[in-house]
Amino acid sequence: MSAHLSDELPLLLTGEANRDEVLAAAAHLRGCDDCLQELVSAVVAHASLSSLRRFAPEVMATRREPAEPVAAQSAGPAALPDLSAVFAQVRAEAAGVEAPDRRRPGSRYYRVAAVAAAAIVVGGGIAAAVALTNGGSRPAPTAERIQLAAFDKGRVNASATVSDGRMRLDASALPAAPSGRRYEVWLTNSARTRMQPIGWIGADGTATLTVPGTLMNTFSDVEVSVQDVTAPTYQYSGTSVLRGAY
Amino acid sequence: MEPAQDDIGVRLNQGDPGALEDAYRTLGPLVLSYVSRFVPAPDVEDVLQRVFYELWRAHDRYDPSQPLRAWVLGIARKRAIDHLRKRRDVVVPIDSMREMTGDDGRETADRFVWADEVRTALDLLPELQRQVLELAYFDGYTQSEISTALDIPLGTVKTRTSRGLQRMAGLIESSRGL
Repeated sequence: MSAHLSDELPLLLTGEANRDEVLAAAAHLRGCDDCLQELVSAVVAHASLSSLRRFAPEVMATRREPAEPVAAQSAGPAALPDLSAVFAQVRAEAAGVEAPDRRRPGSRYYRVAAVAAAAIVVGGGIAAAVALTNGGSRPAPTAERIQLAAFDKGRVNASATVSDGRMRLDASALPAAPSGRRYEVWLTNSARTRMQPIGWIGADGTATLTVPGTLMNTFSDVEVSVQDVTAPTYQYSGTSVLRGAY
Repeated sequence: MEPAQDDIGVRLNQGDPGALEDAYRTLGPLVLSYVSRFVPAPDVEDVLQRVFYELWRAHDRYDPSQPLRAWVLGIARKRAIDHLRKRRDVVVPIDSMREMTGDDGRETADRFVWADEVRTALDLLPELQRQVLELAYFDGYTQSEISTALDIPLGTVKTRTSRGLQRMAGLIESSRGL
């Protein structure tokens, strides 16, 4: 019997073997169970790879893109669209917080409704506060500014503005996050017993996040932590750099 | 290392909101690729949000003994079809709808599930084996061309390719845990 075919099997499958090699291989395979079993496995892998290339090449392409440095990503890992509003909604629901709207957060309609609701809640709350201090003589402001002071491991200050259901946070004074780390923004209560992640800070040190007003009303503070994005599970890291009450 | 899909599926079924975010990190690129094939670019994020919110709303109906990626792609397929049917203001390519709903039924979604299993198996191979398989199957190199490109003997290319295929077959045939 001729030598086993192991290393020649791929050539048979890809059409690189010539006629004589194909016929010799066929003769060998008919009498060699070991090579036949290897051929079966090679066929499984070859067919799978060929199917991937032919019918879903974009699936391969997504994994083959060079990994973008973490610090250069603008919104979430792997440059996926930012679904932080959905995750915030889900966490609020899981925590038993009344959802701002039972419609699905994925729809544009939801976003419009959430923004409108947030504008009413935030704007209304601020209007009430202004009315108490100014006798109601001033029109309600449309934005709330939150000062964030250095906290825990932090050494610099930052600020955020909440308007129309969006939080715009400028933390550009923070040093660049180390490799494998990112800054994440949370809503918390004053005792820090409840923490709600609402999004990531981009490489430029700023973030624009969707924050429904009803969600903000269930917390009292904004905090920024340093998260290990390579960790196998997702949870608060225990290390913060900024914090401010609103 | 991403959390294993089995673990994510179990936690999702139990109502852990963190599992949804892990599912998005792990399967988001696959769903994004699938949805992008059928849905106009400006609407992709909208559909993506619907898909992952539905995962949450339906989490207690997910059977953790079944592959998570197949369940997620099934939801993505339904939401993409819903979206295309509702878009009365634009002309939806009929081939696009046919591919999703026509004679081949769930074939495209199934192929994406399979493709993701294959891609995951490929990622689990040793770097040297994965490299030659990628050059052969995705860049169209012959074994001789790979030998030249990598400056290694042809016999080495053949051995790495053969061993890579054997290893991949084992991973694919037991792909439930990938």
